[in-house]
Amino acid sequence: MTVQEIADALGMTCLAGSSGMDREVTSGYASDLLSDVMGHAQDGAIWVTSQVHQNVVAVALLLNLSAVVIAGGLALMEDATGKADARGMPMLSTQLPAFEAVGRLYQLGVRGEV
Amino acid sequence: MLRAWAADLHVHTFLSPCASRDMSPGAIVRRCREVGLDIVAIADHNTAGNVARAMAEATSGPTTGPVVVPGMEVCTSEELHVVTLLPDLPRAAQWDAAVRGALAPGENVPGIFGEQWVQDASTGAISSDTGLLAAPTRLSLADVVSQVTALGGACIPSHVDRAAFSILGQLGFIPEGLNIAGLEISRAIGRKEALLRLPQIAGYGLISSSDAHSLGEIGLGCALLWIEEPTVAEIMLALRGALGRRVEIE
Repeated sequence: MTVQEIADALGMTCLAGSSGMDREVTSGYASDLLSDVMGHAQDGAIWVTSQVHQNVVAVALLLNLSAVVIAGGLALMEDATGKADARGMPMLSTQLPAFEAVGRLYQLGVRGEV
Repeated sequence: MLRAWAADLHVHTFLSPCASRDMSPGAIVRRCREVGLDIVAIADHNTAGNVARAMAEATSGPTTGPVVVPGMEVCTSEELHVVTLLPDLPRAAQWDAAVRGALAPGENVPGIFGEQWVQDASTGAISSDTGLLAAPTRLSLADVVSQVTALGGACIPSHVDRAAFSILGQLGFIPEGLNIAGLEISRAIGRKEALLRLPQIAGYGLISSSDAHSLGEIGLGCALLWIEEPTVAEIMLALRGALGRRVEIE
């Protein structure tokens, strides 16, 4: 499934990095701690978080994640938008709280690596 | 004798991956002179690697000053930022070594995080630091406070009014009994507004700093320190409002 297909299915909007919407989503991860994500998220994962700063984008790029979902309708910080656009890392927004967002992704068939 | 020192206690050099390329220790020192700062603390992310060069730049040549306070902005395992100030260069080096041993594994990727330039104190030669300085360290807030305190230094949690990487953003509160010297408010907010918005910070000594990542930002946040001499011990007294010392901010 691509990031675009997930965004369409769950009504998520793309805040930045739209040129990467054709990335393939191969797993999912949820955390608000960068160190935790750096240690455990897999290549191709879609990451659900409430953090909105530019290091979220940097960590997503470092790990070659497929996309980031910003839960709870939070806005992205400006420097994060620029970095995501420049590197084509999709930053999706959902009004759903993180727990619900993960549940909907799971229903669509996205699984974590356990 | 007490007198007022204009201080900016949070400035990054080009060793911080997110800082601008023009933030060499020499350029920072010259900019501090232009804007009339008497004291500057060099506080790069998870390293004190450019402190010695900044001190050399400020003490050599026909014009001297400002006083350079050795510092570092540490990212704790809770992923909150703390400005740490050390009494002198040897203790800054000790602190630097401790933090270096607790950095996240892996190497910096300049294309993603930014370049990390370190400048040799005596020769001025510039090289690249390959450590992953942008990532959180393995040191908890409690670890940082106890180790810095043991070195005679001061801990000042950074930009408490901001959501990202701040003690209030990450923890939601300030742990009781935490041995911090004070709290930093960002230059986006004044003292009164900060106290209105964040009632938890009442009772702590507050300082305003620039958190400059580029030359033009230096001094945009600053404080007047009424102290006897420009030392970390005196800065700690001023933050506590002890022995007549005090901090004036807008």
